[in-house]
Amino acid sequence: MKLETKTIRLSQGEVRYHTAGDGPPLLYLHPAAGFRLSGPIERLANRFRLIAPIVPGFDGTERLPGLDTIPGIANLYAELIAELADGACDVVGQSLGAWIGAWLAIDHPETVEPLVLASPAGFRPPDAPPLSFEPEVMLKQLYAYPDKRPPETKSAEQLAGNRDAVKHYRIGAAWDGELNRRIGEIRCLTLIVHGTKDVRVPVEAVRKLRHDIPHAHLVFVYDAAHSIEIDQPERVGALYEDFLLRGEAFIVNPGSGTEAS
Amino acid sequence: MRFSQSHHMPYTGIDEAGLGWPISNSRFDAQTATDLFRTYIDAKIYAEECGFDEIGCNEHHMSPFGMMPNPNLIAASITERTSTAGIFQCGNLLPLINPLRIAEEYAMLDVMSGGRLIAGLMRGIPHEYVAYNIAPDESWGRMREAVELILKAWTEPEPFGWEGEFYQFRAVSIWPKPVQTPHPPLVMSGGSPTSAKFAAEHRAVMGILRVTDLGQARQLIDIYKEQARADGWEAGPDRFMIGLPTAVAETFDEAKQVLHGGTQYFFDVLQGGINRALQLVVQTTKYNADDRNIRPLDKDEQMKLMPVEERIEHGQVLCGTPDMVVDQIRHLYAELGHGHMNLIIKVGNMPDDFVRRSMELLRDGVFGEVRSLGAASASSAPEPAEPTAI
Repeated sequence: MKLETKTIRLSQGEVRYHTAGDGPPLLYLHPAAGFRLSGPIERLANRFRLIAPIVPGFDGTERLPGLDTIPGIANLYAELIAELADGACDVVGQSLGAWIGAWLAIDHPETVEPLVLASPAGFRPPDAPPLSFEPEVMLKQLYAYPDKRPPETKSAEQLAGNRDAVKHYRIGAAWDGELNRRIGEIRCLTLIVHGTKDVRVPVEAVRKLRHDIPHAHLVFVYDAAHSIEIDQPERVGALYEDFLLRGEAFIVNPGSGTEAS
Repeated sequence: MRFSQSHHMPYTGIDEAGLGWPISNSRFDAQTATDLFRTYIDAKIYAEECGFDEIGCNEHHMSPFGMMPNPNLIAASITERTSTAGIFQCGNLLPLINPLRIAEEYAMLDVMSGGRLIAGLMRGIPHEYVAYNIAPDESWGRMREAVELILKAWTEPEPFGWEGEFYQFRAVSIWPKPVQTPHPPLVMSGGSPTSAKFAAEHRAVMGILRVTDLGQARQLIDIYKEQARADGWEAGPDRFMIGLPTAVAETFDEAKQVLHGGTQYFFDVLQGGINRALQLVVQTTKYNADDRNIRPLDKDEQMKLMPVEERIEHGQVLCGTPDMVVDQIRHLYAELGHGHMNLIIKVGNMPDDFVRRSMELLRDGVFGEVRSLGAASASSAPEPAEPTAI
């Protein structure tokens, strides 16, 4: 897969994004570890024109003045969709990306159809134990299969910058009360994906999303922790693709030899 | 001490030993089977009147060994004709069957019985994998995933989909759900160290459903207890079920003679074909790779040849007069500290009137004497935990 890195100037400043593939536009929103190529992303790039913006401040990019909230990032991305995707596209967000994607669907409903919230951050109840950011603990909690992690390609400076960006956007609490109050405003078809070994997003959180979002489906990915795209890339990639291409009919078994269309 | 009645419902209309796999059903006689079903189901129903706490059914395929390929059908019949006994499903065999079907049928049984289901989640014995054409190498993978999926189907409050290695479902929301919350009590096999650890991780009752050696049984119980402690709870006697062929009569000679005859028939006729399939599975797959999950065949041969007195000594059977059986149960409890016994009251072709008389003697002369064993110290955390790692 040929991944290109480009920059677009928006009203608040420059935003870097990765892009690949042809087809209908698809916005992929990265987690708090920054953008990492994964099996599911490569699979999506075979079907869609992938647009994967980097949250300003992550992966060595500059922060933008006045931009320090998740809804603010969503506003920025609505503008990006208008510029790059004719105003509307499929959206897949993982963890932090799902947090941003949820705000995008609430504040800019015309830009999103459909939406995938994978291992969604922002919904960890405030009475849950604080999330650990100790590297050893994180390794165990993020991956059921740490050996599947791809080699690290980010520099030490980029990794440190990502940690600073997590603080800047106050992502660490993993709880967004306002978003939780307004989550029922999401009107688009939504797929919530949760690993059965994910302890960073409690199962109660995804149950609530399934309950509150009117047109939502919840799918558990067996034997996957928080980083579902790394733990179970084939199954997660196929699930994303099936949902995005077939919509609500993704619940119907298409039979062997029937290509999703 | 709690007691379950177990009856495999064998087809006893054949006498040929040493048959291969599968045993041809050209030997099957419909009228014989119909009569046996009536007799056997009546014997199961009679267990409630005889003071058994639970009535057991189990799943086996394509063999006269047992005529319950779907034990849930028999359980449904029992449910309608009993009112207090637990409905102990000692199987379904998870790796062979659609797990959602198991979740649904178990939920139906729990509702039909008003919450009397005890849900056995079993892996089965090797020949079943030949019968249903499931790769034995996938046995544990299917088992682990199916257990999680079934627990989710019973407990998840919102509709969900499942993307697994072996099972994929996009829209799950079973009707009915079980009566018991968070779900019916679980029983899992403890036939190997891996199984014992797995049962403890799910806080299931561990069934050592056919004891061959007391030392091995103790070892499996210790593995379970060790895992429970590692998970932060203490396993009491209520977590352990011991399964034994049982023959009770007015005299030891009669009990011994009937048990001996039934055992010979069991090993020579009923188990003959199964053993051939078992050998093929074990020799050609990784079914048994993690540990010694199944009995070696030479152990079967030893058990067949061993005098009943020795089998009693090894904790393999209960046999004798009621007083003798009381002593045997006390001895076993002192050795194993279990709180539950699964009594196989029909062994091979034991006469059915003997089976009923044996149950009556258990009621009149045994159960009352040993009820208190293991009853005082329950587990510290008997309810299963949330099925996910949250």
